[in-house]
Amino acid sequence: MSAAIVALLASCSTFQRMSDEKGAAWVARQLNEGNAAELAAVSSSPFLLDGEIIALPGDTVALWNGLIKAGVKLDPELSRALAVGTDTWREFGSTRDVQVYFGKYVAKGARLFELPTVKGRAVLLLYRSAWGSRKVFGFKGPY
Amino acid sequence: MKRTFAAVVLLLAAAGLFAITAKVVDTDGPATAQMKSGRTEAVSIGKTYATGDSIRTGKNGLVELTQEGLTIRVGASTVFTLMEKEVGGKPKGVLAVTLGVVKVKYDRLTGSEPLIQSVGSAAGVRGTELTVWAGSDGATRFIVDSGLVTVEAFGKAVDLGPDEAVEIMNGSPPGDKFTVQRGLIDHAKWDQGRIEALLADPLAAVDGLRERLAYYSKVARDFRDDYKAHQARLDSEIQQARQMRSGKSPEEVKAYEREHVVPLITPTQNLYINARYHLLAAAAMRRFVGGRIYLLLKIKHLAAPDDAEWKRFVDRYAVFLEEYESGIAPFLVEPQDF
Repeated sequence: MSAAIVALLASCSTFQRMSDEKGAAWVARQLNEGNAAELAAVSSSPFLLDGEIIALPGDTVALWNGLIKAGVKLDPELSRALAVGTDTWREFGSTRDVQVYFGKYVAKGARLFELPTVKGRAVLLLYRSAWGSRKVFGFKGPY
Repeated sequence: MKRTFAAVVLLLAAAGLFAITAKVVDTDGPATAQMKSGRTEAVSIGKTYATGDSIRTGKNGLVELTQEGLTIRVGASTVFTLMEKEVGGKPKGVLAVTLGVVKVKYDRLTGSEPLIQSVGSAAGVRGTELTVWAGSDGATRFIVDSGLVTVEAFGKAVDLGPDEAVEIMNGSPPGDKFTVQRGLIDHAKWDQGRIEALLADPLAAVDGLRERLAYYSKVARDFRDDYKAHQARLDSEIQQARQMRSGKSPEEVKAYEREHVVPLITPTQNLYINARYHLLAAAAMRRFVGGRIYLLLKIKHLAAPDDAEWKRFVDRYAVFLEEYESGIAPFLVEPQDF
């Protein structure tokens, strides 16, 4: 019985890791291949950039285009992955706006990923449903 | 229980009992409305929007609204909000242009023409047609087609007549007025110039935000302090009237309420409306202008995140955020907690 539970837990964490890798790898691929429109289409509006809220969808498109134009490439190898919890908002900033953004806009079940870039680390705030649909809620970095 | 009456007064004001509305008569291209409740919907002909509702157009978006005696044309890439404040003891409509371009035409005078508010200034109009350009750095240009407009910021007023314009840099009083050279420049070109100026001197843009924020914080604080004093007086008079019920006749209690309670209600509501108005104006500036300034600088420095100019900007912007967090954010609360 206990062996079955251990096996089940192990398969859960393996599944979670696979799901994380798949979600983050998709975003990394779109960015690295220059698909700003694809990224904009799955980006939340408003969108969280570092500790600042980008309120207009046109500005979120400008952000993805800017990242591509600047040559920012994401390494799909995850250096950190965690579920969004009560204090995760502090990863992005210390203002009420960021805290409210997490409470109001970030989907339940969203996860935070840290990925290496040539210019430092980047953080993605991503929700991936069981059916594979995605929503990017935030981006931080490179820093 | 003691606070119930005052709370109702507040909630009525917050609910927009005195709301000023505008109806959509034409729309083209991408346009959404963010309602006061936070709900977002696509703008469509026939919809009516009220105080606190905001219209946001995308590239090539256009929305035309009518109010009593007034036509409002909201251009592309614009953030436009219906607001209100108290002027001369009465609620007055305010057309707030945070980003983009809005053209306003008064078809007939009603005596209660709304004010026009940009990030850094306000304009009163007297029978006119005018265009407002609001730039990515918080700057504003007012262009008068006909009639008279008085533009005011930081205690300095400029009167404009037909074919005259004035620019206001955020955080500064209005500049000198000039004659409009029509057809030479449009909003998109003008805003591109504002973006170039911002990228050339980002610290000046943040300082402009801070100057304006300090103004909003102070005025909001003054109104809030007055509001709290009025509310305390109102609570006390209500309590007094309640205590009279045990020893006085209903007529005497009603007379006391008419004389001591009722006269305090509207001034208390108005103080709340004005405090809230300045807090929301600061919030819009922080969200749309501050957010865009941050984005533009971030994009400029993505390839070199260790650049000294970027680090200086981030440090100065953090000071702006701290000032916002202490002067504005704590008071953007539900009416009962105000």
